[in-house]
This record gives sequence, structure tokens and C-alpha cells, in this order.
Amino acid sequence: MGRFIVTRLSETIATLLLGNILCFTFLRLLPGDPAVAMYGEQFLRLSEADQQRITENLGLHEPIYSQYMKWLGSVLHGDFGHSYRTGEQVSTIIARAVGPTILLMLAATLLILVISISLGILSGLKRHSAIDHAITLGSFVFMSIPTFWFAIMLMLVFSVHLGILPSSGIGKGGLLDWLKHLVMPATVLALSHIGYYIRILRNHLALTINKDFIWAMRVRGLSTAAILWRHLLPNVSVPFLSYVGMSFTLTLGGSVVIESIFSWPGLGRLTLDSAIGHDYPVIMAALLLTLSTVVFGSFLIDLVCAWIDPRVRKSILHKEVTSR
Amino acid sequence: MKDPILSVENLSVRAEADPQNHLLEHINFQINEGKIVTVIGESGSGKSLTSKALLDLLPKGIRLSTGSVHFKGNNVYTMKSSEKRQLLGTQIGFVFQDTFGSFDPMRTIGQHFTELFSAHTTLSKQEAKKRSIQLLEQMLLPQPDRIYSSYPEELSGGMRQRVQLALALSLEPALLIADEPTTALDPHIQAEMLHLMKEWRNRTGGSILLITHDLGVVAEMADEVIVMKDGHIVESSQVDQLFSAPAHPHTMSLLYHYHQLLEGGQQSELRGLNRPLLTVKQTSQTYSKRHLFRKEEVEAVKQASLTIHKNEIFGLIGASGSGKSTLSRLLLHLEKPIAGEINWYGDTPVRKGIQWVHQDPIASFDPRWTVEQIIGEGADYWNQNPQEKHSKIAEAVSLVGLDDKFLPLFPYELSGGMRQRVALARALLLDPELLILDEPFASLDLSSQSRMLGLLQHINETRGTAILFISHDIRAAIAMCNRIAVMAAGELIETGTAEDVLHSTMIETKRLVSSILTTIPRDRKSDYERERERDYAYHT
Amino acid sequence: MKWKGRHIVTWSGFYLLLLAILTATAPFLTFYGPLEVNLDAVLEPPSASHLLGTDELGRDIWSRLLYGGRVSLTVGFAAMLVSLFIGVSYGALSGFIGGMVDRFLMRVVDTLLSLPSIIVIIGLQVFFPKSMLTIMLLIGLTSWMPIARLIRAEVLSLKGEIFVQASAVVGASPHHLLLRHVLPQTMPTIAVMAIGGVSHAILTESTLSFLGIGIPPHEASWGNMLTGVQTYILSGGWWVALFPGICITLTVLAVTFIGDRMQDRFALPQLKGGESI
Repeated sequence: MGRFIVTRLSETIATLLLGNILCFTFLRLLPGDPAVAMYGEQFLRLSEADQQRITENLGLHEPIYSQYMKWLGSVLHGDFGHSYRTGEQVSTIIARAVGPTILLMLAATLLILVISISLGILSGLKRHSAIDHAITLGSFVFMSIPTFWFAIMLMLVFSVHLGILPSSGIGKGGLLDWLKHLVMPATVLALSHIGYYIRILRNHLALTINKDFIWAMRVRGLSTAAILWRHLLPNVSVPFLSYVGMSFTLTLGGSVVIESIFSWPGLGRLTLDSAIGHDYPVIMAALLLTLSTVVFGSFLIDLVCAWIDPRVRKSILHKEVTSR
Repeated sequence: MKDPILSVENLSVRAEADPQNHLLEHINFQINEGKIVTVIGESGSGKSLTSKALLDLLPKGIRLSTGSVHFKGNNVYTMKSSEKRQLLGTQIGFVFQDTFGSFDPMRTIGQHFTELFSAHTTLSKQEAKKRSIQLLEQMLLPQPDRIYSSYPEELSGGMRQRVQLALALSLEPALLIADEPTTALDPHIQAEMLHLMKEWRNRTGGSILLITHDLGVVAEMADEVIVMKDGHIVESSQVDQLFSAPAHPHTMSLLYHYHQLLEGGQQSELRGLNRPLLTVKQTSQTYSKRHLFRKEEVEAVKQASLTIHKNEIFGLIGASGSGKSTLSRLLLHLEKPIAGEINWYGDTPVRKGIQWVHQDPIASFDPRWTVEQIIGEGADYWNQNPQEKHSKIAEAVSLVGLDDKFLPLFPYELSGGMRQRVALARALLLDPELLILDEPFASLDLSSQSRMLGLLQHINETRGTAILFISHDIRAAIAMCNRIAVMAAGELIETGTAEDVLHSTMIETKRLVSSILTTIPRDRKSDYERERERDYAYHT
Repeated sequence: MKWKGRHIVTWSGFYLLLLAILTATAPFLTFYGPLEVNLDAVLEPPSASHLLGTDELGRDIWSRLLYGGRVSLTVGFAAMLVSLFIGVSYGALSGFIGGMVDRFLMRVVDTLLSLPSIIVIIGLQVFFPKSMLTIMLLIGLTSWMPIARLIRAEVLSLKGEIFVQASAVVGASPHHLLLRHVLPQTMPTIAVMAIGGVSHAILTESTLSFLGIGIPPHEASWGNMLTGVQTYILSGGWWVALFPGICITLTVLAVTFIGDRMQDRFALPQLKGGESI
């Protein structure tokens, strides 16, 4: 297990570093002079000597790798510079947006897990029954509806026609108001991703049920309940969990759309607004934050999988077997 | 006489989709207390299906149409499901061919035992553990407490099979059903398994239903034999009678091929072996498992040296994991050795001069290609002339005795024996000087084995093709090879004629030789058993 | 999967065929141009003259739906081709070469996979002019990673298969092995991924266009027909929002059914659905 953690951790760090370099390259590839980007149009009105001085102060005359090291240093200290649009510290802006996004993600993830686990198991155990067909059809439909359109349709029904749920914002006073604002965004986010989770669970369950060892358990006279809880579900949980880890990116991406439709003051909306306003320091910070969250999230999930399943612990060692 | 443990009356089974066609028809037999009954038949004869039908565990889509199965007087098919669970758990033990598939890969061996005990007994956890370890000990497993806490994949196939037997016997059943329990195992482990089962019978007086395709296993184990063919029982008799006076023509043909294989005579050493074709000098191969901070080296082949001469049939035998396959991959230039040299003295380039037939023919064919494309592939790379390619294919096909009508088919549409011929034809297309056959009989029925053996000898005689025959089956090697090399733990421990190997004094060789099963049931070796036990003590 | 048998797949195929015919023959089926502004007929509900009503600029929704379908289907198909091309070549090379190269290439894929594709597209589009071609390229460039990963895993295991080595023994060289034996085996995966890619691309295109960063407004697409639609539904113009959404959903659904059917035929348990926004 120790070796698994070390190997997996080094992979995680490599991924983070690579992502970091990608982001930096992206920043440098942007059209225009970084000094202009940082100080705005007024930079161009300065004298040549002043421009020279500022460029040197920013370290822009240095070779690219030392610029990268400097940038990495400041990023590690949480210093992403200032927003082009508001001039505020990027870290402040981000910190303000993180809370609502975490809230939205938690609510959506909870919904996804509860619904997909129950329906996925039901569907997988009763394969080819009417209920399986209904669940399958439902998951396909939700997989196919564009998230934004689904959100608008819900708004049309619940905010415009019925008028029972607010259509935008995060709410101000009281738990109830707050929940009311949360319901629609979280539901849309959850439902638009839930189909994949249900399908994964169903298909792996169907696959595992047909394995010989399940048959062997029945031949040893074990009850169906024991086989389900002690053998089937643990075996299915590993691919399911690793999908949860992998698809975290997708849910985060989905929150960009949801947040802008429901005017949810989170990270997704911030990113979109910044992108439209060409506010690169903010985009960069948001990207790096997303990257780190996703990478660490999947690291943690892998640890859980390895803890549950001896084969996962081994796989990381066995895949390194090479000839010669 | 006492009532039988199990009686099967007029059992017929059919597929739901095709009700006219019976998969099993009018199966009648009984198993008496303390008897070992074997069911023998070639693949597709319905013997495995029978074992499932006995316990009302038929696969989906297959149904019982008539008949009944009584276990100690109770009808298995009319039982309540809780009764049946109790019956399956405590009265009947089951051992499968697949050593891996019968374990949950996420649970330790110990958890498999505790689960079984907690489902069917009132033993406490400590008692259950003690009992399990005791059972593992009875199966002669080394370090039973370590095995108890291991995961299935950490054990070897032979170990897993013994654990499976321990699980099946743990609640002292009255009947053990074993479906090809030794087919996937090395011969000496196979002999051990058989011995363990027999010993259990002698100790507890339980009955065994043993399903096999190997007449050697029948001769070694059976009291009574049931011969199956195409879903019918064609003959059922006492074991001595079956071997001395078979009644049904199918039984006779099985016996004929069996004796053909065993008593086809030993080959003598060829004279004038002075034209080496391939030499291997002090060759080693190591696989490294790279861990994060250290490297673990596994020496698959250690300092091997051998020479294969023109026209020679050379045997390479050893248990699985002894390094035979790695050595063959080195000879085929599929891997480069880390030390030593391999020299080729043939007239054609290596890639053309050395050809290969793999133990699993279907795995060695591109699944999207037809038989004709597969056989002709070599011609695509060596001569471009389509006319010539066509005649080459025709020649190879007729040489191995394949029918032209098979050419447009896909390999999966052919029987095992035919597939192996296709593989052989592909190899012969390039007129190789050396044929490397890696366990060529492993996937074949007895009758196909004996035909294949004849074909290979014919090719060797008429074309002068040298053959390297790699096998764990010492019987076949003795019947076929001029010289035999024995491999153990990566080393070539000795090389000699069949005679030399049979009378060798090396421990490993003796182990291989001692695992040859008898040909005649009267000769069941009690002295083999004694020797095996001494041998075991020596190794642990 | 057998549910409702082949019917649902047949219907899906029929629907897609019909859609292709309708969009291809759009000029003969419409009375107004898709960009024809008519400020006298703003936000008119469905009627005989405007089959599905008009939008906020008085443009005919039926006409825009057909012409927009051309754009959405083209983008969906072309973006899939781009991502398939990159994904298959990247994955095949990575798996076939193996070793350190493979490890590095896969780390790159992991990294790219950790970034939500919509954010990356938003970031990248500053480098490109706003056009349909850009959108195809961007969607293709951000969706090839799962394909590369799957193909690489398959190539890696196929490379060690006995039948591939058996071909090496009869004299096949590495490029023969890759092109004659290894890649053809991955065809089922490629087919399934291609279908998943089409639905992903259609959904992504519509999302981007909806957000105003996809297909520019001077060209109709199902996505940009929905841009700013929240405002009109508040004033009761439900038809503006309803029809494009239904078109997208039905199209993606039809493609998904066909894809699921294929996946089932080829039985690839390792396929874990595609990406969606």
C-alpha cells in the first residue's frame, strides 16, 4: 500500500507540473505584450525608458525558464496577480467564488450518488425487466438533453409558470430561501450527468453477475443477499468509484453553464465572464485551481479503490513489468 | 445393498431456443456410497452440462425437459430454495476446472472459509479459522496460515485448486463433484490433486463424481465409468471391464487412441547428428519488475545451452513456469536474451527458417481473417507472386490433411484439431527447417492428439524438418522425440534419449516421470504414492 | 441490450436520415430565409404563415431550424473526425512505441483530461477567428483524449497478443503488424467512440453557441437560436426555446441509441460513456 501511495503521488505531482507548464505556455502565447496586459493601455503612454524599466522589473527580459520559475513561485504562494477588469487581487476574487461552487458541487454530487446508486443497482439486478427499460430510457434522455436547455425549461415551469422557485442568485436570508435557490441548479447539474453513472453501475453489475465466482458462491449454498452485499457490490464499487473520480471534471465543466444561467456567483460563472472579458489572470487561477482539485480528487479516489481492492494495489506495480 | 447417494433417472435437457434438439437425453446413473464414478467424453459430449443438471444449476436458456435427480431420496428439482442451499453447502462439494474463476478476487482465502462456515454452521470465528487452517493442512499446502490470509491471485494454480478442494470438503459433504479438476494443472500437481481426492474418499467414505476427458485419470481413479458422446451415455461399466473389454465402438476408439499415444514406442537417438541447425550457448533471460526504488529480477532462463540438429525431433519438457516458453521465445527471436548467444545455421533467414505453432491455436490467429488468409500470410512477406502463393497454400493444406472447403471459413468455425492443422499449415507454408511446437496438444482431445502426433512424424520423415517439441506432457515427448531435454527453474538440467530420461536419477526429472498415470487400472501405483510423499517431504 | 428490440435503433436511424434529407433540401421546404429579419412579425406564435413561429427579430423558426441543422450536424460530424484522427493516431503511437515515450504521452493526456473542456475552449478561442471551422477544430482539439487513452490501452494489449507475434514469426515487419493486425482490431472501439464523439460535439456546439462564443450569430445553428432565450420565455415566447432544444435532444438521443447498440454488439465493458457538458 505504501508503494502504491508513493507511485500514485509522484504521478499526481507530474500531472500537476505538466498542467502548470501548459498554463504558463498558454499565458505567454496570448497575443500582446504581457506588460501591456498587466498595466493596461497606460503602459504604452509611458516613455521608452520607463517601459524598459518596468519590463526589467517584471523579469520579462530574463530567459523563459527563469520566468517560469518565478511565476511558479508566486503561484505557489497564491499570488496570481491582479484582475484586468477590476484590479482586485485575483486570489480574493477566487476565494469569494469558491464557496458557492463547492456548495453546488456537493449538492449535485450527493444527488448523483444517491439516485444513481439506487437506480443503477435496481437496473443491473433486474436486467431486461420493465423497470430496467424505463431507467435505461430515462438515463439516455438525460444524457441527450443539453444542460442549458434543460435549465431553461425547468425555469419556464417552476419560476415562470408555477412561480415557486427563484430563477437566479444564491439567496440571502434563511436556510429555506437558500435551499430554494439551490434546488434547481443542483438538480439540473445532477440530472444531466446521472445517466453515465447509472449506465456504468448497471453494466458492471451485469458483467460481474455473470462471473464464475458468483456461480461458485451459489454452489456453496450462500444466500442471494450475502452474495449481493459481500461479493457483487464490492466488486462493482471499484469501477464505479474510479468513474466518479474521472467524471469530476465533467461535473465541474457543467457547473460553468449552470452557474451562468442561474446567475450563481461561483467559479464557473466567474471563469466564463473572465473569458469573455479577456481577464487572463483570473482564468489562469481558475484553471489551475480546477486542475489541482481534479487531480487530487482522483488521487484520493484511487487511494480508496486501492484500499478496497487488492488488485488495484498490485496493478500499479505489475504494469511496470518490462522485458529486457 | 444400501440406497445410492445420488440417482439420476431419465434426465433430458434442452435449450429453450431449440426445443427439438436435446443437449442431454435419457441420462440414467447412480452413485453409491464410497464410490468414485467418472464421466468421460470428448469436448462437447455433454459431460459438464450433466454435472450442472444434477444440482438444478443449469445455465440460463437451458431447461430440464424430463427426468429427476434424487439426492439421498429427495428430489433436487422440487426442493425449496432454502433446502437446496443447505444441501449444496453441506452435503455436496464442488470443484471446478477454472482455478481462478471460483474465487472472489477481492476477498482473502480466509474470508471465503469464514463465509461458508457462518452460512452453514454455528462455529465461532476462532473455531472457523482453526478448522480452515486444519483443512488447508490436510491438503498438504505449505504455510497454511499464510495461505489463509492471502488473496486468490497471490497463489499458484495448483495451490488454488487445492484450496478449492479444501473449501468443497470443509463441511464434510457426502458427495464431491469435480468437473475437470486437474485439466489446467501440471502433471505432477494433477497427480497430487487426484491423490488428495482419493485419500479423502478412503478416509471419510464419501462418494466422488469425477468428470474428465483423460483416460489416464479414469484409470487412476475410477471404480465405475460412464462414457458420454453427443449428450448420451454410450457405455457404463466397472473400470476393469471398460479397459479390458470395451463394449461400444466409441469407447474402443477412445482406448485405441489412448494406447497409441502411450505405447507408440520410444524413439531412438538418430545417428549421425553432425549438422547443427541451431545452437544456444550460455543463454540467459531475465525479466525485471521495476518497483519505485528497486528492481526485482526474475531469472526465467539461466545459462541454457543446447543444440538442435537437422532432421531431429527434440523434446523440451518441464513443469509450467520452468522457463520453457521463454526459451522458445528466445529461439523465435521474439525477445533478445540478456546474455549468451543463439546461432542459426539454416540455409534460409531465421524469420523464414524457424516457424512456430502455439499451444492455443485460436489465440494465434487474427480473428478477422479467414483460414486462407491466415495460412497465406507468410507468402505476403516472402514472395509477392499471387500464382505461387496459391499453389503454396494448396500444398500446405494438403500436407496437413485439411480440406479445401475450410479455406473460406473463419478459425472459430473449426474444431480444435482442425485449428491446430491450420496453424501447422501456416508454419509449413514457408518450408521451415525448424518447427517450434509449443504445447501443441494442450487444447486437443485424445483422438486429435494421436492423429496430430502421426502427422508431425510424417512431416519430419518426408521433409526432413527438425522439430522442437515443447511440453509438460512427458508421455507425448517420449513417444515422439529422439532426444529430450528437461528444464526446471530456468535451467536445462539434463539432455538425453527417452530411455535416459525414464531412468534418470535427477529429482526434478523423476518427479516429472512419476506423474505419468497408469495405462491399465490394475497397475494403480501404490508405490507412486509412497514416492510422492517422500518427494514432498524433501521439497518442503 | 435488447430492450424494445431493434425498433428503437431503427427509428433512430430513420429519424437521422429524415433529418439529413430535410436539412439538405431546406431551400425547397421553407418560405423565408433563415436570416431574413422581419420587424413587423416579431415573436409571433406558431401559425399557418410561420409554422413554428418567429423569434425576436421576426425570423422564421422553421427555416432557421432546418438551416441550423445543417450547421449543427456538420460541426458534429467534422469535430468527431478531428478528434478521432488525433485520438487514434496519438493513442496508437503511444501504445505501439511503449516505454518512456508512452508514459510521457499518457501523462499529457491525463493532464488535459483534468481540465474541463468547456473552460479550455473558452480560453483557446481567443487565438482563432470566430467561425464554424474554429468551432469544429476547438471541439475536436479538446475531445480526443478519451479516445487516445482507450486506443492506447487496446494497442498495448494487442501488441502482446499471440496472433500478432505469430505474424512476426512468419515475417511481418512492425508497420505490417500495426496496420494489418493491431489497428483493424480496434475498429469496434473506434466506431463506438466516433458515435459518442458526434453527440458530444453536437451538445458542445450548442452550449458554446448558446453562451455566445460558438457559431457567430450571422449563421443559424440550433445552439445560437437559443442565445438569450431566457428573456423571451419570461414574456411567454416558449416556442423560441422549445423547438431548437427538442431538435438537439432528439438528434443526440438517436445517435446515442445507435452508439449503445453498437457498444452492445461489440461488448466493450471498458467504455465508460462519453463526455458531456
